[in-house]
Amino acid sequence: MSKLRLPLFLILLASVPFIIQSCNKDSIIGIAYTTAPFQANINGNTWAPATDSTSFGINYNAGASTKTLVMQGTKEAKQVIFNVTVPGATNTTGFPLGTYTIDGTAVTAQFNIQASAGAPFTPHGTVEAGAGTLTVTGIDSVKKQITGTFAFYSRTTNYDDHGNVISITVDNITGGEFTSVPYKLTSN
Amino acid sequence: MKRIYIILSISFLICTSFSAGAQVKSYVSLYGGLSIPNGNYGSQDYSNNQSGFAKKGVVFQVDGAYYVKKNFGIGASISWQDQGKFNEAMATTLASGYVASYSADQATVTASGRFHSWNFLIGPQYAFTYKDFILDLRANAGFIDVTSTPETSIVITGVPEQTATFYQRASHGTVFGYGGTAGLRYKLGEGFSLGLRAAYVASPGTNVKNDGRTLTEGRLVTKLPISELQTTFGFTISF
Repeated sequence: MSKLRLPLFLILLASVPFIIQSCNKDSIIGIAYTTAPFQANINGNTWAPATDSTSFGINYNAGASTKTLVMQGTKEAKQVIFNVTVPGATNTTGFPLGTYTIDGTAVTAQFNIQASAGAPFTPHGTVEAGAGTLTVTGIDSVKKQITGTFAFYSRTTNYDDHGNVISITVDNITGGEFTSVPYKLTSN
Repeated sequence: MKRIYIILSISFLICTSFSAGAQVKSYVSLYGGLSIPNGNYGSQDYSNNQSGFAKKGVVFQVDGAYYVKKNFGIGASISWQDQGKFNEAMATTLASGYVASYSADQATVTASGRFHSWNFLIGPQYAFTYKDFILDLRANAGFIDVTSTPETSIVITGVPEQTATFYQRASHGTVFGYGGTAGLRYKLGEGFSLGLRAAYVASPGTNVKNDGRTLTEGRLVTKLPISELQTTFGFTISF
């Protein structure tokens, strides 16, 4: 029996690595997203324009007593524009908190694309009334910084040569957020 | 490093109690235990290009020594160790780093494969004996055969200069290794003993190939240095 000790040790040792080597070889996935102050998810992909490609403005119209928030961001041939006009406004540096639903007149949104480098941005589909919202959750009228969320969709109807509808494409802009983004105040 | 100081201190104290005596028998041992990555090898710091992301794993070892004269001999060991694989938190750590480095909108890191290697080490050994205890001390040098390391593929979005997937390839190769071992054996009977041992192993490590980068930003690993402390338990046959 004692003569078998050494061979048994070696057989035992040799088998262990092969057992472990064959265990769990699955892939592991880790995902991280930008923490940019202005970002959204466009058709499933995170989209975060750089600060210098982003503009936020609040314009006070004294004649109409309205205040309009204009938000615009551009990156990688994609552009998102939101306009929110509130009536009965006074000439202050802030903007009313609240949720604004797209109605096609006072509250509008656009999803534009650029067909090729240098070409102008043109709307990709139509953003109809009720197709989304913009919510202003916070505003610092001293620092002139605005915080909020937005989401909407833009529908494109595709026709054949005879004018028949062949398909409808929907661009989904979801999870939009702007966090303490500086805005420019103007009045006229 | 702290562990190494503790081991050296304990070894010194034991050495002062143990003595050199009659001819020590040669032996062969079978050990198993824990292999713990040290320093950069176990570091999970994205910004450190030397950090290996290795984890604690198992080690199995055949160890032996031939005592040439009394307490002096030549020892050698062959060990196989697994230092784990990436988990989701580690992959996300890398993804977050790439998002920041590339100013990307999103990064997806997919990791596969494990850290596996074989150590083939040999060196002079000296044994101290005290009643039924034998303390073996050895300095080791040899080579490490790295059979695999994890491979990562990285996809980032929002960066026009880097639209292709890029890779940190799995690394393998045979490299120089060195270290030291301290082992304590207790005789249970004629020709049979149980033992505890601690081994430190280090190596400059294997080269790492990177593919697919059209814009080089942030973490870029070109070498994976190895440093590990192995604590094992096993039994020995003397002859």
